[in-house]
Amino acid sequence: MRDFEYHAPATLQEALDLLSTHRDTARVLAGGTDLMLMLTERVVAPEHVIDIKGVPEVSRYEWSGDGALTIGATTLFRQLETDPQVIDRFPGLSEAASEVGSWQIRNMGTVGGNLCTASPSAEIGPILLALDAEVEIAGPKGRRTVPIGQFHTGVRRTVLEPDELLLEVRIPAPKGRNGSNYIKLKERQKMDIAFVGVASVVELEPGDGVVKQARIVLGAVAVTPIHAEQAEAKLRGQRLTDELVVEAGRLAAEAAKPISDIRASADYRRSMVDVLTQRTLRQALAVAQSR
Amino acid sequence: MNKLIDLLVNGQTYPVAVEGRTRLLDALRDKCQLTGAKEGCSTGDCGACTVLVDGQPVTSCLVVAASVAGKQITTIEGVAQGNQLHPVQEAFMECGALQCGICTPGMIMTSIALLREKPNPTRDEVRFGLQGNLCRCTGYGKIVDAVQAAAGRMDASGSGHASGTQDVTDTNPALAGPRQADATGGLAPGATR
Repeated sequence: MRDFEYHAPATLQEALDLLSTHRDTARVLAGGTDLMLMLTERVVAPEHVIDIKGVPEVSRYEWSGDGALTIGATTLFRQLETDPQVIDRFPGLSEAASEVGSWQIRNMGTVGGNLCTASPSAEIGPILLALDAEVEIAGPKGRRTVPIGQFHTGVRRTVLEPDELLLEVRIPAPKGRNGSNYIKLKERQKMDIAFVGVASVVELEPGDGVVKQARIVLGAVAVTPIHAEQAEAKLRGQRLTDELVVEAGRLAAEAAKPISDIRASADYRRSMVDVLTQRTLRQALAVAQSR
Repeated sequence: MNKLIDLLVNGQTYPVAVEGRTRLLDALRDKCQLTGAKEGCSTGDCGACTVLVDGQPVTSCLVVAASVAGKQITTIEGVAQGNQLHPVQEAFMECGALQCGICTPGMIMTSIALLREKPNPTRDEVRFGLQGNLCRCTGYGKIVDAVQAAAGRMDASGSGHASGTQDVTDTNPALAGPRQADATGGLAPGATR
């Protein structure tokens, strides 16, 4: 690993100044579980490493009165995995967080780092997209808010400029009778990378069992997490019957654009999108019905 | 470029000169001469280099040493009290929970943290907790046995030493970190969700 200068800014302004000064020769360090790997394997060789863990603006973790959640970029997966309020209000988010790496990795790895690494198989992207999250970005010209669906632009690519910093992710309060679920398909139970990940959110109309809104987001089957839009549209205003769930699975599989690689073939991935879409929908529905 | 930092390891202060790229694992082994944490994969997958930082297990091969200056670090060298082994260490010996021994320091560090959060884990919970510690001799059965055998022997502070003896937390605050009351929803096996 090439040596670098280690910076630990204590304020957001300091961090942004360092980024503006060093731009492409700098990398931001949060949990280090991705960056240290890239440094060890010499995928990157920055001259400056800027550790943002001491910056208060990226460390927020706050629930609003109505149940919206602000997740600072340096929030640990372990936090989302174990916070009883997350388990209650956004079960799919807690499930996705618990699927990341190992206990050790979840004690280090951060939500912001995971989003910025922008791996197509990342666990946290699909559920955040399904939950309609947005991200706040700070740069020399000020702040901007970007819907999470526009944050990832390709494999390991995001809208972040070299002098910008991801500050936080915001999830709106769950509306009405709402349930979510995330399933990651992998070969080993833990310490593995997803063949396919599916996140579903189901919101029911009050009283009757009609779907007000459904979100189905597919991970690891396209360069970024994608909505299964046709499947979502099919469910709106409907009662979630078995036939309809099966139909949604079929439509979601059609929306997937998987590749074949060492982990799985494209055909297998597409079939599994079908299966996991059905399972996540049924589970999300069960949670919503219990509200 | 060298920078002088203070590493607080096992209750002792080690002033060490580190480069930006110096990993916690390197600082512990090469600067503090604490070679208990092992280098296995160097990629955070195997857990052989697991140490506790502020009571929580991390893989020290992925930690920039400078980033943990001033934090409480606990290594395998810090869990016994003189000649009195930690209950988890004793249980590993009694159960024969090691073969080549390379994974053992990491296994024990994670197990100690696990038993502090879940004082009486089921076998599935032990396996879930040790998901990031690989034994290439594949002696997992006895490792799970050992963690369960140690479960009843941890004292109320979670520090590991039976009451009546001096509590290791007197010298090592990291081992007395805040305990989560049975951490429900924490280290439950994924299947229960």
